[in-house]
Amino acid sequence: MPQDELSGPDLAGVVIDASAVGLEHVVIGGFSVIFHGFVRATKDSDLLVPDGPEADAAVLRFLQRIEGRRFRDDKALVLEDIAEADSLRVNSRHGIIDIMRGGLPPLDYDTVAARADTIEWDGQVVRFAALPSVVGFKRLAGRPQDRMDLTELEAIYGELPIDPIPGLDT
Amino acid sequence: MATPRAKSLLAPGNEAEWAALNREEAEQLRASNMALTPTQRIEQGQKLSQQAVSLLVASVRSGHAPRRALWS
Repeated sequence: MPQDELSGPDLAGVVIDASAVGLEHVVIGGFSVIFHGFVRATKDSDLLVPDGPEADAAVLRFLQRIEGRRFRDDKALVLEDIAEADSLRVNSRHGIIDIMRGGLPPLDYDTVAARADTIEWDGQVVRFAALPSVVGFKRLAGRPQDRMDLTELEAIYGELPIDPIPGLDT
Repeated sequence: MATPRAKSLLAPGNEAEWAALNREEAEQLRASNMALTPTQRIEQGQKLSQQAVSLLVASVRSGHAPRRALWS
């Protein structure tokens, strides 16, 4: 899908199709910030997914279902591409999606998934990263938008929960 | 003829007034966002995002915004 045929992110569609193919995931990024109270626009849907062959196979099924192609070269990915990648940015019929694997604890998939907040939306159970995880991802990324998100979340919640992040705080 | 205002906000030296206005606006926005349920917030965020990307794509297509804006 050429870049100038982009559409805005359709998180509902992403979640429905990820669930349909059995792709475990937690919603992170802009939509998780919106979930926690700072309503703003975002250009993509961000999913944190587990690592390993089962998850790779589920990612492939997901990409096939959503007609996902790698954003930078429009390639239809195969299993080897997925297994080798730490993160994937794809364009799809649900807009741009960033698919990321967890990092070191506390930003690993298991920790983020275990503490995630869930809501029911469009008949689907959607898991959003909990506030401490969102804060961790934002502190780690540290881009201007991330700093703005943290400022807005702090204005809502007061002092934000800070988990020490290896390499950043130690 | 209308009497000209003695002072315009759109002039240097009004930083304190602008800061107060911005703070008030931000507080109102936060309050209205937090009055929504999480589901309503996500729906609103998705709608905003779809509008924003649609506008950006139109801008790129018409040669205004650079294509790299789609990447960031």
